[in-house]
Amino acid sequence: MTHALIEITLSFLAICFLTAVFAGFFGGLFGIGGGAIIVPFLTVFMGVPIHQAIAISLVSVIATSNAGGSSYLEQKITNIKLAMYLEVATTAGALVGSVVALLLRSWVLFTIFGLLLSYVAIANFKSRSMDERRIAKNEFDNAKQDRISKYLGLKGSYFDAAQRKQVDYRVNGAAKGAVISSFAGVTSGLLGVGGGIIKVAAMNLFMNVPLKGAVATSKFMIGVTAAVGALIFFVTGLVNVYVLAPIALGTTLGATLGTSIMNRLHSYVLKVAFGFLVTYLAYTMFVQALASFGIMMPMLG
Amino acid sequence: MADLNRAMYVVLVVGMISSSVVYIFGLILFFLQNPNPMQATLVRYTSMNEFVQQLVALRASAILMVGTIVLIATPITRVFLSVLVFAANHDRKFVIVTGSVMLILIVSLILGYFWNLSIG
Repeated sequence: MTHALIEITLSFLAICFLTAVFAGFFGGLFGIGGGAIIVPFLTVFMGVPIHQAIAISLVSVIATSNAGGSSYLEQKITNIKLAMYLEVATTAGALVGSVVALLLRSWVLFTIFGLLLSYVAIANFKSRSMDERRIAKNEFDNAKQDRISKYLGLKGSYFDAAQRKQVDYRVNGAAKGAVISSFAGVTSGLLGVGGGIIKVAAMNLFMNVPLKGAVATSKFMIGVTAAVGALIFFVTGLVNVYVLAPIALGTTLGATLGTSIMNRLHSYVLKVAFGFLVTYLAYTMFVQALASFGIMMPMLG
Repeated sequence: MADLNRAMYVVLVVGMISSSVVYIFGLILFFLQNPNPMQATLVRYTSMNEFVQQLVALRASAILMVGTIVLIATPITRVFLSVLVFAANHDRKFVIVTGSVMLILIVSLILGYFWNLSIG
């Protein structure tokens, strides 16, 4: 067990806090936990050992999910039943993830996630105007449901503030969505993230959920997914509370800001911005895969 | 019908506000108790008794630990509460769905506990 030599000063707290506000803000906009920003920040810049960074990140994902999740519940965009259904897959995945982590070589994992994220990035760019077009034509509401979605009554509606339109939708592809979401859970335990990127993509690209509904529902879900890993790390005693406190406070504030403006932005703006973020994250995955072979690539700009 | 949206909202907001207040209080205590810069080491307790004693003595580390426990407890509470709300609304399908999530959370707690024992 490594003990980090991190000196806690006011400036240390301030840097952690401000970075967390930034991560929380984008996490709020895109329905993700921001762990993908927090973990590299802590390990590369702050010298926190990787296991501690993952543990801190997992608990901060819960903080951002509390703040952002409650905001979207208040705005009535979250689909609670859909969240509950997918949570079975993500929590099971998170549990399996901690076991798989011990069996697979890290470069294999990084390569898999890198490929997965590359796909999500490309899909976001390609589908950037899909949502608004389909909302205008009410296509989300006219979809044919699969048996599971129909049986569980998975559908939803919310008001899109940018398009000024009530959006109704019927979920389909429930089985496919659950399988993809279980991968989101696997990434959670392994990388210290909430798996929001994969959840949003699963709902929006495969389950006929409009982007904003997917963002709000993912924001609500990530806290429970991260709780699985957080519990394991917490009981193991790896959560460094001195570093966690400013990060959790920062992501809480950031998520509150991000979720308060998300609905006013157009879906294509969100998708393109999200696409760029995911492209960068895919790159960091490949960088880490190559690093296992001693090939060093520049990271974080 | 119990209002699921409202119940979930209340749990998350209470979790957010109480953990934030406890963290801010803990950080203030930390600077009062440590005038000189200190290393951020992992906080470990050998017994529940030790934790309670530190808490009563208002040690910053113990207070920050409480904030963390509140945070981790929030999503677990909201899953547990959703089982109750679905049960109150006689929604059998979703009692099974949310009950399964609750079960997985309990398994991970047990797993973490034994893993902890195995590494000492």
